[in-house]
Order: sequence, then structure tokens, then C-alpha cells
Amino acid sequence: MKITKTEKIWLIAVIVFYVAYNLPFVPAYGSAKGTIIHGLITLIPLWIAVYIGMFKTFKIHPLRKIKEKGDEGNA
Amino acid sequence: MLSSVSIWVIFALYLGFMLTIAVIENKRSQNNNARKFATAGGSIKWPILVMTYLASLMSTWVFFAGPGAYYRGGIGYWASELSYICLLPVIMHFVMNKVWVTNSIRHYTTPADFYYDRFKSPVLRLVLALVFLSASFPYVTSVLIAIAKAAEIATGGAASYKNVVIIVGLVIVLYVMIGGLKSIAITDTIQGLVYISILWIIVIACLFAAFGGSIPTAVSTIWDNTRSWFSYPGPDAWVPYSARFGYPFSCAIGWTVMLPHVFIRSGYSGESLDTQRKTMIITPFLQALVWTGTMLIGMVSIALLPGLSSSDSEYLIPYLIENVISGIHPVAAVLLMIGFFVGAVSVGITTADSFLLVSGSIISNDIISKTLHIKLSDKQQMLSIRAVIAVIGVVSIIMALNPPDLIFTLIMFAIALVMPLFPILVLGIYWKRATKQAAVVASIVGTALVLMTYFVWNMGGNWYGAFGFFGSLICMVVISLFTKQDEQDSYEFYEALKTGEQTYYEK
Repeated sequence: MKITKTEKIWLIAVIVFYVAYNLPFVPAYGSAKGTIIHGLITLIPLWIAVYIGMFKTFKIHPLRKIKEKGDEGNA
Repeated sequence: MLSSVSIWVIFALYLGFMLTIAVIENKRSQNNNARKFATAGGSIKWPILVMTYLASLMSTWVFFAGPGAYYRGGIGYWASELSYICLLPVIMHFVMNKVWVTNSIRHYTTPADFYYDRFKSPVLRLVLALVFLSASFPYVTSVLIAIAKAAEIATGGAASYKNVVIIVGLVIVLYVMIGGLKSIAITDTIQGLVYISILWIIVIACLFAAFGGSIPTAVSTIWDNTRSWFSYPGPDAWVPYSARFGYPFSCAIGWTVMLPHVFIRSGYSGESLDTQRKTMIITPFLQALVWTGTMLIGMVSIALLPGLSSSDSEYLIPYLIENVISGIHPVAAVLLMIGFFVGAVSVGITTADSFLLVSGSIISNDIISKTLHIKLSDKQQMLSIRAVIAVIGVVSIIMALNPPDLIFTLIMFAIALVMPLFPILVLGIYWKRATKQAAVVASIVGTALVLMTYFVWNMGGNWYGAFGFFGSLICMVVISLFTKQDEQDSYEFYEALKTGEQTYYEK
């Protein structure tokens, strides 16, 4: 299964926001307002990017309906 | 605060309940082979999978060091947790769902089975088995220590540490030996719900006792008195810049999917890909719920009792109950102390049982059966797993009775230790050019770098497994480019992945 363009964008967006939050030296240490603003503008988009990308990916790769196979489950 | 008798009554009820579940589940699921016993044979439905994944991840840290960590590290530490727990859906989609698809056709028992199937290297299997085992072993001991400590604290020292370790340890061992993963998953679900509820009852009780239930009042008190709680590096200044990168990076990979018991849950145990997807959707929210509850206890504590020493902040929940709530409502304080004890026991047992089971299957499957090539029938293999679980359990109990100083260091770097295995996993799935020579060197060099980070350079507390991860990644790429492996070695693996994806996905 090849990685689609949507999946690539999803991965990049998540990495960008994740790095943006965890970037050393940002925000400046000791800045309470800076920490809160930095958290809001990186963490909220990060969570949104994860979930929007995930649901888009689910749409691109729908699952087949497979009858359950007893106790071996997926076997 | 509680009497020794009440603690033993709680224990008897709790452990009796667990053993009953194990016996019922053992009869129901007919654990007749090692794979079914250790991985539930890919038969776990999504509500159970979500809860067993969550419960096995959360150790006694939630009720012990966790609130203290937020007390000392501040809100930035909590935000750092939020930055990586939401990555689970991404890691599961790109990596663990491919593990699941391949497992559905190739039927693995241990994490090392997956790597062996791709690289066909017995040396790699042995190295991985030893790394995964090293990451598992200290956890069981640490949980026994924490549960006995909780009993000691809740009874003001009346409950004997030694007796608690021996009796709880033996019951956990017995329960894992009887039930296997399916019963562990069921009790994890119940215990997970129990400890999340208790955690939030404690949060709400503390908030009401101290601030009339108002979070804004608590926040403004901290803003006025301890503003450093809202900024890096936190009130105790223990989040240096290096840890800003090293900690969430290591947790995102090591803690979330690479510890062996969560590797099995996120890659082998789910009933279907739909189960995997539901786990991806729900788990980050539940993890956020637990961490937020733990953070709020740290927050209420810093608002009420700023300036506590590190050792006092390790036991914030019982400290708050004894010093704040008992003065306002003594009966509520007793009930909350029971809640603290039950919560600590349940969150501990859910971690210990998972590690005990996976350690047993690693030794029996990867070492006895696949490395030493001792041929065992299904029945003999089941017996050997159970015997190994008993041995590991008894050794863990002995270690908990007289814990070595190193034990807590070992726990801290268990997450770091498994990080170098992630690049091997990803490149093994996505890069056909990756070779077994590269995988062996990457696993050894990566592990050595993690050990050096901790014990030579003394930087483990900030960088965790980051150096090991990058060392492993570089070795995988460079050595794969300079070595060759017969394509036939990985042919069946890639065919299984391809067939599986064609079977389970419409496109």
C-alpha cells in the first residue's frame, strides 16, 4: 500500500507542530505568558492536525468488511 | 489512617476478584498454545484493547511520583506530555497497523518474532529478546515496592512491607500463570476504570476542600504566589532545554509503542483493523484524562502547599489527604485514603502483570525455543511460559524485599533502552534494502549508546534514548547501503504485508 499525498501532508503537519512545541529555547524560560501562548498556538493545532489527518486517512483507505473468524480473530 | 486489618480485607477482596477472573477466562478461552496465551491470538475487541493498552502503560507513577512531578515541573511538563500522547494515531497508522496486518498472517508471539521474520537473523532475535527483557524486568519489582509502600503509607506503617510484597507478588504471579493476556486485558479494563475514577474523585475532593471546587481560584492563587509553575523550567527548575527535546521524543516512541507489553497490544492483540482504528481515536483522549487528573493534583498542591521538599512531593496524594482533607472531613479522608490505596494497587497490578507475561513469553519463545532450539510441544511450551513466569515473579519478589539502589535507575531507562529498536522496525517495514547486518549492528550500537548516555555521560535524565535512537538510525542506513542480504530472506514477510493489506483495505 503506497503512502498517499494526504498521508504525507498529515505526517509533515504533525511533525511541524510537534517540533514547534518541543523546540528547545522556545518559549524563553521564566516567561509564564510566553509558555501559555506558545502552548496554545502549537498544541491545539497539533491535536487538530492529528485528528483531521487521521479521519482523512480513514476515508482514503476504507476497510473491507470481513466476517469474524472465531477465537483466532484476525488469523 | 487505615488499620492493618482493613488493608488486608481490601487486598483479599481485590486479589480474590482477580484470581476469579483468571480462572473463568482460562476455562472460557482454552489457552492451549503460547501465542493465544501471550497475545490473545488477535481476539481482543476495541473497548478492552483501549483499556488494557492504557492501563498497562500507566504505572504507579500516576498515584506516586506523577503529581509530584507536575508539582515540581509545572504546567510545561503537562503540556509536554500532551505533545506526544496525541502522536499515537500517527505511529499506529504508519507502523503498528502494518505490524498488525503482517501478524494476522504470520502469527507472532513476541516482539522479536516480527523482527526475525523480516531480517532472518538469530543474533538479532537474541539481542532484541535481551533488550526487551531488560526493559520489562525492573518494572515488576518496582510495582511490588510501590504497592507495599502504598499499604505502609495508608496504614501509617502498620501493614508490614515484607508481607505485602510476598502475598501480593505471589497472587499476581499465580493470576498471570492461570489467565494469560485475555484475563489480564479484562482485569486491566476493570482496574483501569477503577483507578481513573478514583483519581478524579481525589482531584475533585482536593479542589473542593481547598478552593471550593473552583479551578480559576486555584489558578489565580498559583499565578500570584508561584508564577514559575506556569513557565519553563518549572518551580524546581528541573526541565533544562535538553529535556525539552529528549523527554517527549523518548516517550513518543519508547513509552508509546516500543515497550514490549504495549508493542504486543498495539500490534498483535487487536481483533481487527477496525479495533486498531478505534484504539487510535480514543486512547489519546483517555491518556490526556489521566495525565490531566494527575496534573491537577500537582496544581492544587502547589497552590495549597508551596515549597514542599522533593521527598514530600513524591507522596502528594496521601499528604493532601492527611494534612488538608482530614481536617475538614475525617470520614471523607478515610474513604479517599482507601481510594488512594486501591488506585495505587490497581494501576500497579495492571503494569506488573503485563510485564510478567511478556517476560515469560520472551524467555520461553525467543530464548528457550528459538535460540536454544529446545523443541517443545504446545503443552510443554505453555508449561515453560508458566514456569518462567513463576521464576521471574519469585526473583522480582526477592528483589522487592531488598531492592537494589539500581532498580529505579533501571526503570527510568527502560523506555530509553527500547528506543533504538524503532528505526530498525520502521526501516524494516518501509525499506527493502535494509539488511540483517545493519539491524544487528544498529541494535547493539543503539543499546550501547543508551547505556553510555546513562552510565558514562550521565545525561540520561535529559536525553533518555535520543542518542541511541539516532545512532541506531545512522547504523541502519549506512550499513544497509554497504551490505547485501538475499531478497528471499524477506520475501515471505513482504508478501504477507502485501496480502494482508489487500485483504483488509478496500484501496
